[in-house]
Amino acid sequence: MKTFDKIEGIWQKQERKTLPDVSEIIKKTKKMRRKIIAKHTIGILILVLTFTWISTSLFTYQFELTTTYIGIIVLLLSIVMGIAFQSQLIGIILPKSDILSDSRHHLSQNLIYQSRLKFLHKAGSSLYYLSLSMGLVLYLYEFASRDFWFGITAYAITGTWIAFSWFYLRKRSVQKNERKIDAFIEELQKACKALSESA
Amino acid sequence: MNFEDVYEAFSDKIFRLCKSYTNDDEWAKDLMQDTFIQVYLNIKKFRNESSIGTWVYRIASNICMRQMERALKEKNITSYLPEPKIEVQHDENDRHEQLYNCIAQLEKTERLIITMVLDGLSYKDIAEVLAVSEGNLRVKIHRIKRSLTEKFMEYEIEHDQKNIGHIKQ
Repeated sequence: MKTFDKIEGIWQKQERKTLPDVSEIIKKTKKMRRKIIAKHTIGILILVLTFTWISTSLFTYQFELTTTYIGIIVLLLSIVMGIAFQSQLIGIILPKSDILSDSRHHLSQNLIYQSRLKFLHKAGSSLYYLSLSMGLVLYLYEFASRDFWFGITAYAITGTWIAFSWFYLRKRSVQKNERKIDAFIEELQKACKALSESA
Repeated sequence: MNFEDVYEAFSDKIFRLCKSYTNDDEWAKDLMQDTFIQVYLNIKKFRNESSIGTWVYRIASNICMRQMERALKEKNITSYLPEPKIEVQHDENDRHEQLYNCIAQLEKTERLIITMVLDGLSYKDIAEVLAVSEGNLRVKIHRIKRSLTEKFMEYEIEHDQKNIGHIKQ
């Protein structure tokens, strides 16, 4: 193929581009490392502080009903779950694909990871809103039972919030996330297929 | 081999690989840097199971393919690479750019394969990077070469016609 030889000739005659100096790369790597550590540290710190703050109320106040304590514990667990997901600590328990592996393996690992992430996000979102709502309902019961009108108001507001978050916020978050992951999964599948195609 | 030597030896080639994949200078520079960040972080794990070049190309290929995720998340688009620029370049110096434009019209994994071919990697090394059989790869490469040649020939014909038009004027 003479034209391909010509193409090779053009390719080889490319001038060397002005690329970043090696010291810049090393600097960038160290900066990236610090950023990741800071992000995870902040995530864990927020988790610990939130956990501490809410747990403190368990020991500071004396509630009459067990449902209040259960409500606080359920709220605590949902907040922990929410923060863990938001701060991408999920990356620690759901390992990503290995950048050092060969491309085919890397793609298939990534495909598995994305599919699991999609499931986790959907199930996690549902569990988060459900447990948060349950926690609030249980927590408010003691206060609502003391005063009729307070109870009506509190549960009306809580019910509205639960409905809004379940039918709008949760749905929107899941759909947005699914769209992105589905697009990415499609691209990954195309790439996997291209590499797997037989002669 | 230390990191500085690896960077000196492969930065230009990896930039070209990334540019073939993205057809965008700035994005290619970012990917090239991302590749060498991973090389820097993992160079101690390199155990000579393959050549250092193959290892670097492997990382670069994975980084390029991971860009799908970043682009789709950050830019909120369904097609994550810039559209290939089809217009014909008349300046001889822009023939390189036109070559990249032709490569950009290939399917994504084909862009990686043809760049490695053009950079002189052996079929064995390319097969190792991508984890495909050499036999399968040979046929693929033949098809890609044919496809790229056709696209480039279209450009050459148009280029020659434009040149003739300029001479007549």
